[in-house]
Amino acid sequence: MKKYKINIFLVFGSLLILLFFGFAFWSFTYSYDEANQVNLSQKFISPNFTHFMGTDETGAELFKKVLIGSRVSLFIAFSVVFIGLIIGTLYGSISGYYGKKVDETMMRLLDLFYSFPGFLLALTLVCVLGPSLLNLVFALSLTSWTGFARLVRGEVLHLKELDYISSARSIGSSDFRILFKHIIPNLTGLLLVQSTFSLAGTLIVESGLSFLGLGAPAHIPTWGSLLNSGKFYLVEAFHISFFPGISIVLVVLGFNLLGDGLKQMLDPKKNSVI
Amino acid sequence: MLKVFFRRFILLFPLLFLVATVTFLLMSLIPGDPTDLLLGEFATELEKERLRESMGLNKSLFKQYLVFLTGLIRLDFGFSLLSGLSVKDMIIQRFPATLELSAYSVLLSCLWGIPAGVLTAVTKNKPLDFISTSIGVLGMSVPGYFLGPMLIWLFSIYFDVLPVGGRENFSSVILPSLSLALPLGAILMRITRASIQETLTQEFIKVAYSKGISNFTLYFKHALFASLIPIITVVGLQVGSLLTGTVITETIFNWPGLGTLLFEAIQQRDYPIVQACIIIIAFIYVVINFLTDLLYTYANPRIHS
Repeated sequence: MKKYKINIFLVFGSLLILLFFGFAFWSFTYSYDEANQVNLSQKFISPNFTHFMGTDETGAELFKKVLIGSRVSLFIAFSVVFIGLIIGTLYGSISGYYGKKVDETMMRLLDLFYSFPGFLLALTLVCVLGPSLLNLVFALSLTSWTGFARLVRGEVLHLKELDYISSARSIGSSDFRILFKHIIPNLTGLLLVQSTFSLAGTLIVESGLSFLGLGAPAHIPTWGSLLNSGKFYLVEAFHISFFPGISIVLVVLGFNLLGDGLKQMLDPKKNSVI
Repeated sequence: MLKVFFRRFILLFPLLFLVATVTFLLMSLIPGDPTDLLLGEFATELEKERLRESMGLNKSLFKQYLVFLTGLIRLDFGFSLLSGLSVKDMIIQRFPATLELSAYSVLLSCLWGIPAGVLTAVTKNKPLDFISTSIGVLGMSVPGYFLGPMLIWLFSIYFDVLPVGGRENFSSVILPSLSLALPLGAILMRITRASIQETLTQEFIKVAYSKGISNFTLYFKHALFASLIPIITVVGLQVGSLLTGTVITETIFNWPGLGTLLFEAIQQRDYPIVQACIIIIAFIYVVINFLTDLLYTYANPRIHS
């Protein structure tokens, strides 16, 4: 067993993520309709003991909406990054392993995806397909794999020249076996770090789209849409924008800290951060 | 160098062409009939048919594509569905505002991010190092659409010193550019710090130090110039994403640029404007990435071969 040095960023990041996972599970105890319940006599109540985060412009409990927001955001971010991870790893390893013409063609195609700004592509797609959670996942996945593919390809190009790979080939291992048994397992740490940063990035883009009203359908409360409706009531009810916004910051911060911490733990030599 | 430039430059055109084609195809996939939007629900089929004919919507997709391409070459993006104005004129009218906002944001972020990066890289002060790392991570985690409303609350409502939005005088550009420049500067700070730290381990820094030059010249001239390559790349890549970020920031501050034009057009389903804005923003993004790539190649002689 290798001994890892645990650092404070890693601990703090993990705790933040766990907290929001708890929130996400808590939100399963009530439905969207219960969270959206309009009660105009109770609107704009500031945070107090009975209303932990206060109420919004419809008089609904803000806390319930923020909890659902964490469920939606985490669901989308994890789905998108998972899809990106699988596609990107396969794409990158095939491109890097076979090299030459295959690599050249696959990399030009990747460049095309890379050159289109991800946020704009997602925005266009959601605009075309209409707002729904699945469309949002699809739109964001279209660009999430490119980062993984580039990373994996670079590593595979380097790994496949190593002695243990030629040894494996000389005893007759198939390409499939070499890739999945000898190369990809070596990338686990790297992919874990990349996934964590990718989760943070996806969350920011997803909430940004929701903020513009191009995310989830209107009846599902999301952090982005709450923040957007809150910005009209900054004078009378500052808390409507504050709580969803600070939730985004904390989750993204959690993922970034986790990524930084994992990076330092898995590769203490390079503690520079990008 | 010139050869590299030309090869990349020639590759730029198929890329722009593909970006335009993808956008056109995506926009043509939108369900629904634009004539319903223009004429309302009670229009007769004959009226709709006439309008479709005048807009060229009854032609085949391929013919529409050809019309679109010839228009694109002449920078003619058609007319707005709602106002009937030329989309090209609307974009020309809005573009300077976006340019202004982006320029101020990049300038501001470089002004605080790069010096902060250098300073934190060279001080061996543990608490300062911890604080700067924390600011760096925090800056990366605060999205502009949260920072924007918070800045409005603080400076326009609580202290009441800056305007909430619009574009009247210089004071209106402060908040939107700040909300873009704070996160961008944090990224720059991290990159500068990492890059300088790596440079400082090299021999020539020791030589320069032993010659007896001042610390300021050593850090801000010798070390910073040798570390510029990653910084340039990040600034370039970030300018591209800044442009897409302005869509959100502009809507928050009601800044009359391309971003608000695109946002309003999406809400009103004015698709010719949406299409034109997306193509323009994507083109600028591609061209900026191309220029960054060139600058990167130019600044790093090792990549020439």
